[in-house]
Amino acid sequence: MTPPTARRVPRLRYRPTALQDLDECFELMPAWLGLDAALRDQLRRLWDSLVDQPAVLTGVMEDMALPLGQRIQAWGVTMALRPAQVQALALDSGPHAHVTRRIYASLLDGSQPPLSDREIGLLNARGELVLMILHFSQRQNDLSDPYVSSVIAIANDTFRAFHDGYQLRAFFYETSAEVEPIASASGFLMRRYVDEDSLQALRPALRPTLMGLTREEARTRLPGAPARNTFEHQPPMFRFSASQRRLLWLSLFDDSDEHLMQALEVSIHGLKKLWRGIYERIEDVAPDFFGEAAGDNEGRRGPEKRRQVLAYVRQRPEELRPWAEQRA
Amino acid sequence: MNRVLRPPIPRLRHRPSLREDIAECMPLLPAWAGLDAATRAALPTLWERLCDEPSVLSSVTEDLARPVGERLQSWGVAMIVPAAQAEAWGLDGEPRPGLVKRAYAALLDGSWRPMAEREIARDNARGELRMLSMHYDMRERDLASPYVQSLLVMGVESYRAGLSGYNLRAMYFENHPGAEPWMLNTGYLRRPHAPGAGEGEDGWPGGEPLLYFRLTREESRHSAATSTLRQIFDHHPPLFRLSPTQRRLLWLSLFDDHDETLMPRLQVSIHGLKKLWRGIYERIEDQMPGFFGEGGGADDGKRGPEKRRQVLAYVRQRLEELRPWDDAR
Repeated sequence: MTPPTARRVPRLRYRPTALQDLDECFELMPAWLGLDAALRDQLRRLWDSLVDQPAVLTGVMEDMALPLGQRIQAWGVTMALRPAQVQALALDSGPHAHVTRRIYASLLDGSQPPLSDREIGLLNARGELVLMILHFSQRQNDLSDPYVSSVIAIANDTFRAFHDGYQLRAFFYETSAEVEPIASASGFLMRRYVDEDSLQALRPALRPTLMGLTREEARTRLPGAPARNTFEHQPPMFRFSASQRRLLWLSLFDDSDEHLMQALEVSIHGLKKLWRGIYERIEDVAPDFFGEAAGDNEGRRGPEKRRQVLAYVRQRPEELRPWAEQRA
Repeated sequence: MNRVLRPPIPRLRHRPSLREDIAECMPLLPAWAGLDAATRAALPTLWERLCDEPSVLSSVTEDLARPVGERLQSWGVAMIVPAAQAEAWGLDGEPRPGLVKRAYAALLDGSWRPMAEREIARDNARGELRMLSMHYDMRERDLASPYVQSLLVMGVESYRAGLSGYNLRAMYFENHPGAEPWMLNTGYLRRPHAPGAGEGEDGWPGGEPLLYFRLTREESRHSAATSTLRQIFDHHPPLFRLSPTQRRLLWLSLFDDHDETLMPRLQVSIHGLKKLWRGIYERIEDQMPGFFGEGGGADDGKRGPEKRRQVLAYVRQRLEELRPWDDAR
C-alpha cells in the first residue's frame, strides 16, 4: 500500500485503536504523564484488556503512506468515569494534578474498574455521563509544520466521531500546558488544580493542564467548537443491543467482513445474524425505513440495507451509544 | 419513515440538495439578499439548471421526524468562482455590498457561466480555487432555541463535508450581522465593504446592513488549529484521479440511499452503475495494489459490496479524491 505516489503525499485517516496497535501507540505515551518504566510496563499489560472496554474510547490517526509499524501519528484515549470516581478526584471542584495517572492507578489496583455497557447506558440516559480525555498525543508537535496541521485536522474528525452522540454532564481533558492552546480552541475551558502553584517550575511539555466543559457551560456557547458540539444530543430511536451497536460502530470504519468477524469474535453466520437483528429492530421501530417492500427479499437487499443503516447512524451517533432507562 | 419518527425528537441529517427539493428550498432564500420578485420567480427554473453544475455546492439539513414536504430546515449554497469574476466583484479587496443579488442576476442574464468541471480541476490543481458562500439560512433563527442550535451543529457538519477536499485559495461570505458570531467562530475574518457601502447605488440590498467575511489560505495557516475553516483549507492532492462520473457516484454514495436513487441521478442503468463501480475498483487497484487486501481483485461479483464499503470508508476521510483535479501541463 505504499506505491511511489503514496510515499510523497500523506494519507491520513482515523479508526478505533486495535490490539495490534498498542506497541506503536505506547511510543506516543506523553511525557507529561511522568510514568516511570515499571508503571509503563504495567500499563502496557493493562491496555490489552482495556482496548475493547465500552468505557474506553480510543482512536489512532495513521498515515497510510508510511510503512507498517510507522503509520500511527496520533493516539487519543478517553474514558467514561464513575460518578463516585469523579467525586473522589474532585473533578468538578478542584482536583490535584495528574488526574490521568491516578485513574490509571485505580485501574491497575482494581479499585475503579471500567464502567460496563449497562452502567454507561444508565448514566447516559440520565444525562449524568462524564467523559475525560486521559491523553492525546502526536508524533510531531511543531504547529508550523503543514503535516502537523493535517494531523490536527484529522484529529478533529476523530474527536467528533468518538465523542458525539453521548448525553454528557461534563467533559474533562488533561493534557500538557504545551497543548493547552489547541484544547482551548476546541472549546474546552481552563480548570485549576488545587496544587497548581507547585507545577509552575515544570516546562510546558511536562506540566499537566486540566481543561473541562459542563453541559451548562456548553449551553452558553455558540455551536461550532468540537467540545461544544459534543453536548448536542437526542435520545436514540432504535435502542440496539450492545453487540449490534458495536458492529455498527466498527462498520463505520469498515474494512472487511473478515476483520469484523475477528473483532466481534463471531462466525460469518453470526455476523449475518447480527445484521438481520439490526434490520428487524429498525423495521419494528420505523417500518418505512428501508422503503416499501424492502422486507421481502433480504438476501438480495442485505448490502443495500447495510448502507442505508450506516448512512443514518453515521449522522445520528446517539444510536451507537449505550442507553438504558431505569424502570421505575 | 415519517409514520414512526416521533415529532418531539428531531432527527436531523444533511445531504446534497436534489432537484425535488427546489420548491421547499425557495422560502429559505434569505431576505437580506434583497432579491426582487422577478428574480425570485425566475430562480426555480435557474436552480433546475444549477442542480447538476459541478461548481455549485448545495446542501440541505432535513428533519426526518417531520412530514414529507416540511422536512427541510436549512439550505446552504456555495459556488466556485472564476478568477475573473472574483476580480470583477472585488472579492479579494473591498467589494460593493449585494454579492448574492449580483451573482443571481449574472447567472440569470448569462453573464456568469458556472465553471465547467475541467476549469475547476485546473484551478484546483493550481491551488487557485475561490469559493463564494452565497447564502445559508434556517427555517428558524432564534439562537437561544435548542432546535436551532442543533441545526447549527448539523450546518457545520454539512459545511465541512461539502467544502473539504478542495485546494482553496480563498473563501468569501457576505452575511447579515446576526450571523457574525457564528462566522467568526467558524474561522472567517471580517473584512470591509467598499467605502460608501449602504449609500446610494451601493445601498444594502435587503434594507439591512450586511457584513463581508473572507479567509485566504495564508490566513488560515495562522487561525485556530481546530476551526472549521482551517480544517477545510487542509489539502492534499488526490491519489486515484477518478473520472467525473466516478467521483459523482462516490460523492452521492456517501449520503447513500439505494441504487434506485443513484441510477436516475447519474443517468445510468443498473448495468451502467455496476460498470462505474468496477471502473472505480480497477482504478484503485492500479494506483494502490494492496488497497483491497491480498487477492482482493480475484472475485468481483462476490466482493462488490465489500469493496464498495472499503472505498467509501477511505474517500469519506480523504475528500480530495472526490474533487476535480487536472495537473496536466
